[in-house]
Amino acid sequence: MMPALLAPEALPWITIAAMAGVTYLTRITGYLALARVPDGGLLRRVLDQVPGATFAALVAPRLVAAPPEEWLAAGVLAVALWRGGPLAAILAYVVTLTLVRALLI
Amino acid sequence: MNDHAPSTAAAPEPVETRPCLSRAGLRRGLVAVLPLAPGALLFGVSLGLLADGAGMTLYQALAMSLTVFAGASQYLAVELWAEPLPALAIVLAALLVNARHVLMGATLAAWLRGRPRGQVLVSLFFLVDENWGLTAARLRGAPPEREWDLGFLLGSGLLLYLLWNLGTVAGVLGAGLVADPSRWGLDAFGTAMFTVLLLLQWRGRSSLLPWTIAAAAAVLAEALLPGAWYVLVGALAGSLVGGLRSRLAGSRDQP
Repeated sequence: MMPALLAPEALPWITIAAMAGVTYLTRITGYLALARVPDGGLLRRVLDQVPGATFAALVAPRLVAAPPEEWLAAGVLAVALWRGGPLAAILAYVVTLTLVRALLI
Repeated sequence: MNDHAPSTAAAPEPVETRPCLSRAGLRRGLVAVLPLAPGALLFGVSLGLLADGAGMTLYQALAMSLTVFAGASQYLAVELWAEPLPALAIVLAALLVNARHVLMGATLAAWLRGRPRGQVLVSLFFLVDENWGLTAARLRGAPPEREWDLGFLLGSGLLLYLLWNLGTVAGVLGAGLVADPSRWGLDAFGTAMFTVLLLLQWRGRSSLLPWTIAAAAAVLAEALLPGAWYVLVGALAGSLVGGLRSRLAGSRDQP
């Protein structure tokens, strides 16, 4: 055992290093494990759905828990994204939220 | 080289000089992620503020942002950061929250195969929700817009990395100036970014079923399960249903 690593001051650094290690492993595992996914198979079709499903899973609980003005802002964001692109969408969201909060709350 | 473009066996593309990691690709990625840059910077600032409040030093917070570079798990670490340090809980939470990276990497596996492994392993360090979402949307484009250049993923990732770390430092240093960081509504920025990234994945009515399943499963799992399981539960449920439906519908439902 290395005494320096056991010093209490080292624990935060060991924790951060371990976080970094496991996080990098999660980033490369999918690539290393599935470097040969055949096209057109079921696995490929499932993976094609992962982006949409992942963001739906990230967003849904947030929106469910959010106050109504955030639902309105999300609706405005969708229209702005369709008409003007990602930057317009985020700006529209922030502006809508700020306006509604300033005017109504 | 075998066929790299996913699911386009019927329409062979012109063979480019592959594999590819070019300056033009890096620039395309950087430009594509610019709309998300203010949000990413504020995410970092907010993390720095909270890290300072939790008792992390500037160097610890910066080291974490430099080496981990994964927002949700870092917010969780800061949330759990206390004396004595619950090191194991923090590391396990990071593993759980970031487990979705395995799925993200898997979706890119076909795109990444055949490339120099070193380039791929370095680029994957910079894989986060934002540049993955943009890349996934870009991979589905019609052939002229379809992205092949690895620089797209790396360039967008590098800008996010820079902003994340600048934001972290600014947040820690500026913590003394802000009374109550939670009142800034920075969480709403996250919702806006994820909603944009969600809508960019839209591919017509075939998206409705997997999205609905994913959303419902995530909301249910968030209520029933601890921590961040809801992301994986929702993502897996939605993509399994979507993939099975696509399989049943046959080849006309190709992406």
